[in-house]
Amino acid sequence: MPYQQKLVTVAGYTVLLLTAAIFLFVAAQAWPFFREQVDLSFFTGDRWLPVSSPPTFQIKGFLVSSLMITTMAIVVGCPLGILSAVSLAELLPRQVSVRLRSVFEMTVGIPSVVFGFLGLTVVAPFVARVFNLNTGLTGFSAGLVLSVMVLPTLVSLADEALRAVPREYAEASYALGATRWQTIWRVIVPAARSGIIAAVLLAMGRAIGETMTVLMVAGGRLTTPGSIFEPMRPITALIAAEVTNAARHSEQYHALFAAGLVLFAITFAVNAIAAAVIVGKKGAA
Amino acid sequence: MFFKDFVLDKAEFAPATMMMPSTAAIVQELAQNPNAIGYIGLGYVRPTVAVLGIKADEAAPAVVASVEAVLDRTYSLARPLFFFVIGETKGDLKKFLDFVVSADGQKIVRDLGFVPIN
Amino acid sequence: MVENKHKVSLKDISIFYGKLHVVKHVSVELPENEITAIIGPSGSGKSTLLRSLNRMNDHINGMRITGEAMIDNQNIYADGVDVVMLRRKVGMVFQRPNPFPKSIYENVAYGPKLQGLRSKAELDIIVENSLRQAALWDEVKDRLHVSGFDLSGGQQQRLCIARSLAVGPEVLLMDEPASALDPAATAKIEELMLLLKRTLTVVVVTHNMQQAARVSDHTAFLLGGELVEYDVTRKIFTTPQDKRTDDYISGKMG
Repeated sequence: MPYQQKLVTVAGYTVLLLTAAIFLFVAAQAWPFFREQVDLSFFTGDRWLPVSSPPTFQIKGFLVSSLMITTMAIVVGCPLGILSAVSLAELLPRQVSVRLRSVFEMTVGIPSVVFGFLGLTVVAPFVARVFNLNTGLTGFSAGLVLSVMVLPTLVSLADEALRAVPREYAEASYALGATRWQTIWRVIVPAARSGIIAAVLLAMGRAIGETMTVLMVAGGRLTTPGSIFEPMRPITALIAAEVTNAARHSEQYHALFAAGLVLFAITFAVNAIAAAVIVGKKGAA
Repeated sequence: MFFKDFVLDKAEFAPATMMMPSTAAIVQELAQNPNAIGYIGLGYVRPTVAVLGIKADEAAPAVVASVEAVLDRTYSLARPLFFFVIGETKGDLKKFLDFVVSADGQKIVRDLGFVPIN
Repeated sequence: MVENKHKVSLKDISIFYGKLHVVKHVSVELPENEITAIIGPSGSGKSTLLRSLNRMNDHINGMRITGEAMIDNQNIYADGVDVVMLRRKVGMVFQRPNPFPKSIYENVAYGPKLQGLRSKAELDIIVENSLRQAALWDEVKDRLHVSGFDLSGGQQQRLCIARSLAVGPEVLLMDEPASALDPAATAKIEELMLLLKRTLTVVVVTHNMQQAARVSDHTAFLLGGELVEYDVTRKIFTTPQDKRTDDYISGKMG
């Protein structure tokens, strides 16, 4: 094997090993907590009292917050993202698309703290005014900001999936008397369906894992939110807010890792489904 | 921890409490939310928030936080800040600590809105 | 021999791609219920000419066409012509079988559904008739709901023909429809073409001269965008009038 090839192989395995190592580290740090935990109250309970004696660690509120905000981000982001991808791939003149694509790709590099700041100073006050709320720091505002943040992932992957649809399908459709609109929605989008689903799932993974924005914008209430218009704290924000204050190897420290492990499992599951959808598509074509 | 131990007497925060990532975020929320009440360091007080007086117990008079009230101990909810060092204080470390307690250093503390040591 | 009436007639057609003059002053009349073959070497403009008949070239940037292209005595490039209606009347089958990634049934039902047909009973009838006309029904009637991709190449091409027939065209354009198929599948397509001309006018582009000789009634020979010769197929292949036609069909030219 030539040395370049060896190098690439080694690099590939290194990434794999690192990922496995991270997972094992998180699992090992979470283990002392799960060993003490006798029932499922960690998942079903609503009380997170880390410095009380005795402390209580229950993450239902954070789980529900994560799900609410992610759902909001996807529900708002998906139509927007898919429509943008359709215009990039099918509607806009090629020169315009090429430029817009590079703009979109640049937005991937905007640090999430910038989005968080915009959420805090612009979106939250706006949401508070429109919905007549005491505070705009709610799951709704966080979801709104996240829906914009997932767009680059969503649009570029969906755009790619749409452009991978063979031109022959469009030709056949036009030759049967279809309009451009009919061709897009009845042939091209369905043909790119699995790619678009994968794009949505990966965007979902991104939304679940996002930390800084939700820490700044979601409001940080520790209980299970009754609606998306309440302040809440998703798992990522919980970990970010508390891990620096938790004494090493304290109960709180291990409980935070336990929450991290749950998050890891959710993101892993979402990405695995996305990967399966992508592989499934390749198999069918 | 300080607030939970001294003010709440080790009771729990209300479940609806919003935990903010920074004092600046608390100030911003206090300024925007008409129903919000929060606690912050004296140095973070801005004209956008109203400062309330507190009582040490039922009988005591309500006192609004200020440098003077903290210094003469009529304001009860104050805590000192300490520097902890490992080993001897010498060299640059000694110079820095001497500066902190010097008149110049303490002037900076007062200018930032915090309470100097004397 | 009684000449059929002319279905398609081209008058001084020139097609440009930007500055490129691809089809040059072609005038020809194609009889109804016949198969007309367009032959010629690669790059002679035969596909471009074919695709001008259902305005598929409209999608190409910088395409310009001059002259008159008449179908049923109506200029298809006149102002106010509805391209959608034109394409229902003039169907097209492509070089590579291109069924949609949908079921056999949905492939055939696609065109009628575009026109707003929703009735399951009516769609069923159209799908069955179209597949019968394309000589595919017996092979697929028990698996209408499997993917079109599950069929062989030859079957896929007949599925594409059925899909075109489902919208009830009067003219069928075929762009080298058998070039991607094996001899057995090719033979089936040719057989089918002979059946189709009973009800349709067929125009087929081919680089396979045996195929042109076997199936077509008239043949047009295109070279460098010019129509060199157009005549009854038998004459083109036995007594061509132009030396260039002779050279091409006897294999002296690419």
